[in-house]
Parts: sequence; C-alpha cells; structure tokens
Amino acid sequence: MTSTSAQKRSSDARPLQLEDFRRVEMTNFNESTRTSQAAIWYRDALYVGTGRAMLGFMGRYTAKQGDQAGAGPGRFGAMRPDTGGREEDGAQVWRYVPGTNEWTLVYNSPLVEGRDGKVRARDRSVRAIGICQTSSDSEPALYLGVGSLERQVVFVRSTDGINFEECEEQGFGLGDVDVPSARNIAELDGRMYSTPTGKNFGRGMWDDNLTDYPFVFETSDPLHGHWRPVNEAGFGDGNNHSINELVAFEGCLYAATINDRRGFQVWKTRPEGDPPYRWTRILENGAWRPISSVPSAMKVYNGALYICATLQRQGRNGRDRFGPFPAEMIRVYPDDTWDLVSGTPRFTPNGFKRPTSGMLGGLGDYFTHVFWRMAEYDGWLYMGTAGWKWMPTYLRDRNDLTPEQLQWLQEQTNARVDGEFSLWRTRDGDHWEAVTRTGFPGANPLNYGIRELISTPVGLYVFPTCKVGASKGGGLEIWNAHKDHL
Amino acid sequence: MREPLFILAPARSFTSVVCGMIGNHPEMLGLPETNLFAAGTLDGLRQVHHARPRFATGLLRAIAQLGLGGQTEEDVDAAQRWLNEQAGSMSTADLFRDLADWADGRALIDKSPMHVFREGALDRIIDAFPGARFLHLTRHPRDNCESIYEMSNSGTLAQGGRELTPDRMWLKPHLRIMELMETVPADQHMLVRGESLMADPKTYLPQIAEWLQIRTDDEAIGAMMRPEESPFACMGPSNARLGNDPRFLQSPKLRPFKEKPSDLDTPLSWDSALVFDETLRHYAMTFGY
Repeated sequence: MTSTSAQKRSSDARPLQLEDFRRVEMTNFNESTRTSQAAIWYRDALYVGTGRAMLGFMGRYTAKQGDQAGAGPGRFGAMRPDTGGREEDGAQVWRYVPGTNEWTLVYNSPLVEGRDGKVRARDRSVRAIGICQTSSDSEPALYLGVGSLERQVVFVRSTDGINFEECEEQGFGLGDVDVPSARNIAELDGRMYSTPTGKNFGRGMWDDNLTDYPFVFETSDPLHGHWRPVNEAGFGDGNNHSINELVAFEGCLYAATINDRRGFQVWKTRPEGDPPYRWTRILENGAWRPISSVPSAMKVYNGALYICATLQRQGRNGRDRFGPFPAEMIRVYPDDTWDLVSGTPRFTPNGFKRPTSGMLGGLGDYFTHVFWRMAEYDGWLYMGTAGWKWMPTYLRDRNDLTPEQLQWLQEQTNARVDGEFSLWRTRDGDHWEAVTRTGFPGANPLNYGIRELISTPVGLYVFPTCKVGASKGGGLEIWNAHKDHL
Repeated sequence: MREPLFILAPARSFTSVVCGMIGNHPEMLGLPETNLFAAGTLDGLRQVHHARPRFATGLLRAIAQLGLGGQTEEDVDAAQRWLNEQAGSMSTADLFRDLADWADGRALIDKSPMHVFREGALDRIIDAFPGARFLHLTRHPRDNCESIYEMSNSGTLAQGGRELTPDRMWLKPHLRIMELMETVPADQHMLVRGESLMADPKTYLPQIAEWLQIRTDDEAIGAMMRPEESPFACMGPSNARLGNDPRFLQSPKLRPFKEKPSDLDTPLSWDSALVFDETLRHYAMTFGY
C-alpha cells in the first residue's frame, strides 16, 4: 500500500450520497450525442468527448451498406429507425469550467464526403482520452482518439485545452485498412500507448469492440505518429480479438484482451529494450470463468489493479441470448497474485477463489451486465454499472430453460425501473455500498448505464449513457457531487 | 450426521475416480453408485432394480461394507435380505441416512450418474438434504459422448433403449444440474472441470478440501491421491461384481492424465449427422471447453 493510499484510508471522509448529486447544465451539444466514454480533467477544466447515437440498431444496418455485405446504399439502413441525430452531427469535445458554468466547443467533427458521395460528419465518437507528456512533449498534453464513421481513427492533441490539432498517421499509420477507432490511451516512461478497436467494413459500425489489429501500439512522438506495435498480434492467440483495456501500473503496462472463445486475458510487460516486449500472461480463461469474454474496466486503487469483466453483448443473437450473466471483478497485485472481488466461487490453478466482497457476480445483482467505469474520489473507489434488463435478449429462443426458469427471468425483467443503473462505492475494495441502484432521480428514463466517471478537484462527475440522442428524447447527461458541498 | 457430498455429472465424466479420490480423505467416504434417489421409497427402488438389476449392485455393496463390515458373497446376501426386510414405504433418504450413521463420522459421497438422468431424483436429494454440498463435474462433450457410446456398445452401460444424442447424453443432464444449483446456496455448490482436476490433482484436491471445510494437510491430501484404498475400489463378490465403472474397479490407481485437444465443431465419430448445436456449444464454452 502506498503512503498516499494509506492516508486516504485513514481519513474519515464522508462518502458521496445520492442526494449530493446535481445535474450539470449543458447547452449546445449536438442532438445526436448520447454518451461520453472519454472525459478528463485538464488545466482546471472538464473535457467531455462525446459519442453520437448509432445510425441504425447497433449500427449493423448501416454497416451492411459497406463492403462486408455487398449491398447497395440504403438497402438496409433506410429500412431501420435510427437512434437520433443527423448524419452531419458527429463527435465533439466540449470544455466545461465549473466556476462559471461555461461550456465551450473545442473540437467538432469535420464534415467530409463519404464513400457514397454524401457529405457527413467524419467522426462518430471519442473513445480514448489521456494526458501524456512524451519525450516529444514539452509539457503535459491532452490527447484524444477520435473514432471515425467511415475512415480511420484520428488522434488530436492540445497543450492549452483550447486549440486542437490532428496528429499525423491516421489509423496508427497502418495504411488503408479498417482501423476506425482507438480504445485506450496510457502513458509510461515518456511513451504513449494505445490500442485500435472497431470494424466498419466501409462505413457505419460493424463491430464496436473487435479489430483486425489486436496490438498495443507505442510512440514517443504522437504528434507525428511513429506508432509501432509492441506485442505479437493478439499475444499469439487467435481468439484474442481486441485489447479492450490498457493501463500503466507500478512501472508495467497491463493489457486486457477480448476473447469470446475462452474468456478474457490480462497480459503484463515492463517495456524495456526494443519491441516486441516480453509479455507475461497473468490471467486467462476469463479468470477461470470463460463466459467473461470482455474486460470492461481497469482501475488502479490502493496498490492493486481492479479488473472488471463480463460477456460482450453486441447484438441480439449468438451467446447474447443465453444471458444474463452478471459482471465480475478481479483484483490483481503487483506480484501477479489475484483476488476475486465479486463473482462466482471457483477452483483455479491459483487456488480456491471466493469473492472477497462476499457477493456473487454483479455485486449480488444477477442482472448487472457490466461494471463499466471506476474512479477514485476523496479516498473512495466509485464504480458505475449497466444492466441486462433494458435490452432483454435473453428472453428469446430459450429452449435450454424450463418454463419456470423463463418465467422467473420474465418477472425480474418486468420489474425493471426506467433509467436504472447502479453506482457503488468502497474504501477497502471489499465492502461495497450502493449509492444508487435505480439511477438518479429525475434523470432521463432512457439512461441505462454509467459510461464515464471522472474524479476532479471540484467533485465526482458521472456520465450516464442513453439509448438515443436528444433528437429522439434522450441525450447525454452529466451529474456532479462535491465533497465540500455536502 | 455430517452433510453429504453429491457429485453430479453425466455418466462417463470421471465420477468414479473423483469420488474415489475425495472419498479417501480421512473425513469422507465415497460410496459406489447407490442410485438411491432414482426413487423416493424402497418400493419404488425395487421397481428400478427389477427393471435394471445391475443398479442394485452398488447399494448392496455399500450396505454390506458399512452395515456388516465386509463384502463377501454372504455379506451381500445378508445386505439383500436386510434390504428386503425394510418397510416398502421407507424413504430412500432414510436409507441414505442409515448408511451415513454406519460411516463412523465420515461424510458420505454419492456419485450415481442416474441421479442426473432420472426425473425427480435431484429434487429428492435437495428435499432430503438441504445442507448437502454438490460438486458439478464436467467433461468435454465430445469425449463424454464418445465414451458413453463406446460403453453402451460394449454392453456395460444401459441406455434404456433410447437414442444416444449429444443433447440427451451431455446437455440435458448439465442443464438439470444447473437448474438445481440455482436453488442451492452458493457456498454449497462448486463446478469443477474434470480434465483440470485429473491433470493436476495436487492443485485442485486441496481446494476441494478447503471448500468442504475438511483437513487440507499433506496427510489428508496424500490419502486423496490414493483412490485405490477405498473398500469399493475393486471388483465385488460374484453376486455384486460392479456397482461402479468397471474400468475404475479394475484399475483404480490414479494415473498421469494429460488433457487431449478436443473440438466442438466436427461431427461425432459414429454418426456424421451428430454435431453440437449452438446451445450445447455455448454451455461447453461456459464450462471451459
């Protein structure tokens, strides 16, 4: 345990309560905006990178206009209701100064001519954000990985938080390939690391989380690109389809993979010498619960790395229909030993693992699909979730269940509260208390999860995610609670 | 009476050797296949035995060994007489309790595969022993199905005249077990992948002992590595030869096991039309296959 964390644990800080949260007034976000998964505190302001609503259900129908389906333009997309916003509405980055409640648009997706000749926003969402001072940066710079609707991921950079410039080498400099987005940004020893994600197959969004390039990329000069892979593709495992989480911890880089065949893996390296670096696999087979295909969040807290995982859900068929499977949480220590914090007890090559929280998956909630984001604020670790019930794919075609089992699932699903999600907190990582289990009172009922949590000197910011953009009655909300306002 | 342990798995899923290992722990006693809960009463059980006499063998050996102290032909005959003398309305759960009372304080382990195939058997177990523990044991569906097919062809496994399909052999028993586990407190049931346990018993047996809250010292774990020491790990007398997997009875010592690669994609060896459907594949992957 670090001295800082020890001080925090010994403090008597009153944790945030549900009634402490206030909705932040927002103006002028474009009407497609439904989420943020890339916010950060930088130079005394909050930066909010946005994601627009999909162009069709799960984006697949627009994607089918692309090369993958070989279908003509509009053949599928036009038949499906979209989920909000105009095509010229794309990703944005907003700057918020809490003291004055002033919002400033500091980045807006350029309009480009699409492959079908129509003019539309180039960028769909900001999914990676970080403050890095690489050996090429004279001061800490703000970097964002901006995902594209039909082209390649672009990194943008700012050193004042006002002016942004595009970095060179779109798509990690891989050439004319399908690399539409980036998932993470991490910094270690003067180098910036990131991972590609997504498949467009032309335009739209074929898959948000998988990639043809399951690499960790490194650069010491992100402004000019110069990206280079630092691992073997998928760490040598063809079932590792993406690197979904990436963090630096105790001088090492930790990369967690999506593996829908065997369960997620976690790899670790101390980047020394020339790449590819020597990586060690410290977790595999979904931490011996193979249903956990996707690592959904990683966060360093009190000298340990918390890893959340669940079943990836990207559609209405396949393994989705066998849910629900509650999310799980693992805690990894620098010596590679690990605890199961929340999840199903199991026998493993590393010993008998029982949940240290005393709670099964979902922190005891069978219908918690994902532990989505974590943030440390005032000596407490907060964690936001999303559930299964808002899109109950698991109620269809269940010939594996008895009528009694199916009836129970139906009854539980019917008990859903509109806008529900959970926000949890803990001081020691084992004793978890719910701040809310049903979302925020007065929030949009179309919210279904917490996609971003940011700790700042002016409080904890919570970013619920919404099914649709403002044009369809939804839109991004931001909530804040400050310890000094208690 | 110490709470029993039930090993739940389809036939041909390492149940014999796993029961032998755990059952040789100083605080445990592994039974042969009693098939007791195939019926609720002894009358019902007699009907099962009448239709399939071999299903009585394990129970007779258990009664003989625990009640009479041996497994000679005379002991088995005496066990049969004692069984016949019991009131027909006596519950099979009470008979199981009798066995437990005769076990000198050791907790019984039952591993009868019939319990996961027979309608109502698992409900009878949980109704009678709500504090019991359950070890859900798995094996790769391909290896499991191939093994069942081989045994049924050799005449050593009764199949009841029904068609052998992966669904019936592997999926349905596992679904039935999982449904039961939903009703059991989390600390009373565990899943173990049979291949992992067989390949590395020194890693997994102490964990099972820890879960069962029994001794985990070297002496106790060492005993678990010697399933051949069980009084039931051998052929029985001429009037009760089996009562367990014949291969285990002939060669009960733990042998080095190396998991061989098996896939979920290709048809089963004896019928090119028999492939694993999406549902079976899903559950197989969930178990780590």
